[in-house]
Amino acid sequence: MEETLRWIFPAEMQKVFETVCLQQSKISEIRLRAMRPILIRRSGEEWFVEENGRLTKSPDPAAKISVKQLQTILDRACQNSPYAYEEELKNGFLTIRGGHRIGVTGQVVAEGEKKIRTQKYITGLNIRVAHEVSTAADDVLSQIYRKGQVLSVLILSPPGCGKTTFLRALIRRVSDGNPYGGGKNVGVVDERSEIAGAYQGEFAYDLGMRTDVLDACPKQAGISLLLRSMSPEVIAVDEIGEQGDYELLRKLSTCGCKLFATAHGDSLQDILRKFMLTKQELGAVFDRVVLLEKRDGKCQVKAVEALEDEACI
Amino acid sequence: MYIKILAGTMILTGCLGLGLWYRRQYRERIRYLQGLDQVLEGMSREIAYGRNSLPECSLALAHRLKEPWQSLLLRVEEAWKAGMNYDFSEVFSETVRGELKNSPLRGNDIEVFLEFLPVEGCFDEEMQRGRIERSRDGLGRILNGLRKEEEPKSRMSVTLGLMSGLLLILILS
Repeated sequence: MEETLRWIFPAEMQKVFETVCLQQSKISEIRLRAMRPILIRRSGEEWFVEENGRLTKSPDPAAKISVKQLQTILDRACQNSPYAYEEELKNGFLTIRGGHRIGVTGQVVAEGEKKIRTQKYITGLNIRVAHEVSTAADDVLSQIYRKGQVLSVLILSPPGCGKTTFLRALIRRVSDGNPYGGGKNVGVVDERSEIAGAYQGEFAYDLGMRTDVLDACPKQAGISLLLRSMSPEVIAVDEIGEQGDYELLRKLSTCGCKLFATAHGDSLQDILRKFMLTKQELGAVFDRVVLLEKRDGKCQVKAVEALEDEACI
Repeated sequence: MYIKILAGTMILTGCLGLGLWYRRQYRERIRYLQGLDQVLEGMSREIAYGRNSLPECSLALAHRLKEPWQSLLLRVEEAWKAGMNYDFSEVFSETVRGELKNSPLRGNDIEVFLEFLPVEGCFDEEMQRGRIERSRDGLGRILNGLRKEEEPKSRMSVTLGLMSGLLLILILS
């Protein structure tokens, strides 16, 4: 796997992050907190990083990171242009080249009572390393097709279980075509630039030959634009969660388009409670719910539930 | 006799050439300063219109501006993509200093231009554009001073070249 993270670490910290960069493919998370040991999650296990780059299970010899160093890393991640990421920083995270997502915490500069203007004095960064597992969706392909037609799929899991990775793999397989159905035109509204990992018009991940991507675009505007301009057969969006999102997708399901979406949740009941829906109402938008879980440090499919007929697994 | 005339002509031409070269350098410095100002103006517009990051602004301008600015910004892009040092401010400053070393610009002109680059990134668009405007003001002051003195200095350099040539001929003859 290509090293796509090294560039965010300044020269004086390259040694500390040497192993982390070399083992990027196995690492899912890097947690940096001011004056606290550097923590990483590798193959589902938690490790600390020493000054010489070695990984250790003990926090005592672990390297610590200063506020200044955190600021430098963020600055590099923003390409010395934090103003260009103002909106992302307001939301507490930004997506960098390669599709990796960096969560940011610090002192919030509030605007009124409800709005966040920006964050300063950064004290924590959570780097979620993006991975491409092109076969992630292969096991469920047979269950998301009916008579050669692809169905609408909601991918559900708690954070860090590979929803985006699964969605990416699913988009690619549907776009390119597979043994269960021919290739479809897929429109992706990549609100957080995570699905395609776009950077200056270049995609870090292969989403298939029939995929059109609207990068950094709000869902509602993006879906309308795709419908008007690209006549997609499937529309894919990441992380639905707002009340308006369900309404938007419900309207879209009446346009003849199939939908792929992801959401945070432990079970189908979670998502029904979140959107205050019945199973039938959710079934009006999605045909299948794919539940993901992390077992023994590996992300895998827990179950595929059919919303309109009997369960598939 | 002919040799003396030939030598005198050569001395006169040489000294006049020196004066003309000085005038050309002076005018070229003004042209280069105007070019730097154009780069800054373009960056400010790119930020205002598309909220582009500094590397994106630089690349976008590289395809729009004329030479020598196009090559300069493409070199920045090359260095930015190729190097291990991914601090854009550092890459930009080093490349610009290196590339403009042999230009008619003075060291101070380049430093004033580079003032827009943040040591630590600006969290706000207005702040970044403010920095660019400050750099433009600095360049504007230098430009105004040079323009004010352009006519007399140009005339003086040519006249001085000519006079020194004549003086040299007189001394040598």
